[in-house]
Amino acid sequence: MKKISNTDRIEAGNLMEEASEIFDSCVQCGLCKGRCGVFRVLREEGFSARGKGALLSGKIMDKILFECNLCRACEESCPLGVKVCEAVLKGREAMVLLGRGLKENEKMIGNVRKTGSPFGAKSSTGEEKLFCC
Amino acid sequence: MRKNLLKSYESDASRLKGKALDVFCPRNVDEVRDVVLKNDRVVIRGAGTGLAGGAVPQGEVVLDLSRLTGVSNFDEGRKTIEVEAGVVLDDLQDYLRGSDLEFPVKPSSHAVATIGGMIATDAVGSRGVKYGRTSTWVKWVEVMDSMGGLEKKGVTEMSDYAGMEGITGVIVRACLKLSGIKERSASVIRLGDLDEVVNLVRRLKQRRDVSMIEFLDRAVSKGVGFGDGYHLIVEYESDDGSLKGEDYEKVMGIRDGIYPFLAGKGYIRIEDPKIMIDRFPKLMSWLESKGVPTFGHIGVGILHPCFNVEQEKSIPEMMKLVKRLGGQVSGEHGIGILKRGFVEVNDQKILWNVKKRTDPMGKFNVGKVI
Repeated sequence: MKKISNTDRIEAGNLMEEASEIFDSCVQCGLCKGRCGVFRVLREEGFSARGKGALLSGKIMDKILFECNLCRACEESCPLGVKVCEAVLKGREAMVLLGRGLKENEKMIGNVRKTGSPFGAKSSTGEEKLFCC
Repeated sequence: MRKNLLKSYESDASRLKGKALDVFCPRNVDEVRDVVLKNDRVVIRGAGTGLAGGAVPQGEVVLDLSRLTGVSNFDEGRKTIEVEAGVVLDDLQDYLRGSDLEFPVKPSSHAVATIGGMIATDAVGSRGVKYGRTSTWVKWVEVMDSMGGLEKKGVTEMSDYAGMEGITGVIVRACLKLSGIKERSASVIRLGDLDEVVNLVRRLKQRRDVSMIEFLDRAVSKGVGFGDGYHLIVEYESDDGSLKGEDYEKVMGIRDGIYPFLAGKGYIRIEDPKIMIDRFPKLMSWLESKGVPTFGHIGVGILHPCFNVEQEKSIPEMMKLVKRLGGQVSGEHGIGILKRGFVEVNDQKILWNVKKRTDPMGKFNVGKVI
């Protein structure tokens, strides 16, 4: 298991604080749900921007933050212009810093670092390799 | 449901906070029955856009009907359609596109409001002046009682369920009446004083092609960019309005965004007193003296004064004034948790009788309305 440094802990705390602040202006009208592609398919409040806002306002880290297309449709329909995707990204970043990112994502990044391909297979056709820091 | 995710269900657009023990999102009527039979206390939830806290759980299980999205038996000739409770109004309008029919009641939250929620709150919306309440457009509702029994209730029993905010049973399906789509246009009319507003509203209400008369007070008018003075947004089902096409859509967008705009400025608590048009200037003058920005469906006498935290303490005073002027404390948002204290004793007795008859086990939305 990855050891979490104090700097990462502080950084993650700051990111969650910032994500929470973004939702300070949310009035919970729920209009964001109308155009959210993820909510319209899964139809659970937690998948909507308002649902994610409830989590982030309480500084709760949950893998549901990764269930967002970052398409900004919710921001388009938000009458107050809450930057939902920015908050979700901050939440995700905080989770990754604390080693709570998605295993699938970590595997994909490992594959890119090792082989240059997200699938872990070396390219035989000489395609350009991907790079990850 | 995962414990973390319960938090999403512990509030609604009223911003009241509650506590959910668990949340269930059934996909069909059988799953709804399972939830009803296995739990003692159930709070029924649609889109969660209610402004009176009707869907806020208080240590109960939440039954989210958003996944009941079936649409069937669309009869173009009879102008009826059967929908499940979780169908969103705008999705229904999309479904009907191409048929020259629509569901005419239009609450501001039409993009997310579910039909079940609209019936349960008997939503009015901005076209109330012509089309009335949601229940006017419901042929029957299919309701599940606390024993899991399913029964269709027609127009004569509609009042036991429509507008009862889910305290009498779970509305799982409804047959809706539809109306022909109209070509619509709108005008924004500036007025100098409240008497002018009253006179114009009276004249407009006599016209058959007027389907919406929305009032914006001076503060709201300025805030949304209409400038000084009072304003009326009038929707015509003809080409009499000066705004058509994109301009019409734009002004309707402004109208839908008024509450979120005010809430963003700190005027979070929205009320919905209903008052006769000739008494409206008295109420409006009081609201202006308190600095409470107000808009509303003046065509049906419903106003939406929006209070900030400091102004909230004057709400009981406003309610007293509304009652003294012969009005109702809630015209369309319902009673929920927020307005329980303002329900008249006689009304409470009537509501209790209906509750005892329809939900003798006291399972549904306990602590709401009464």
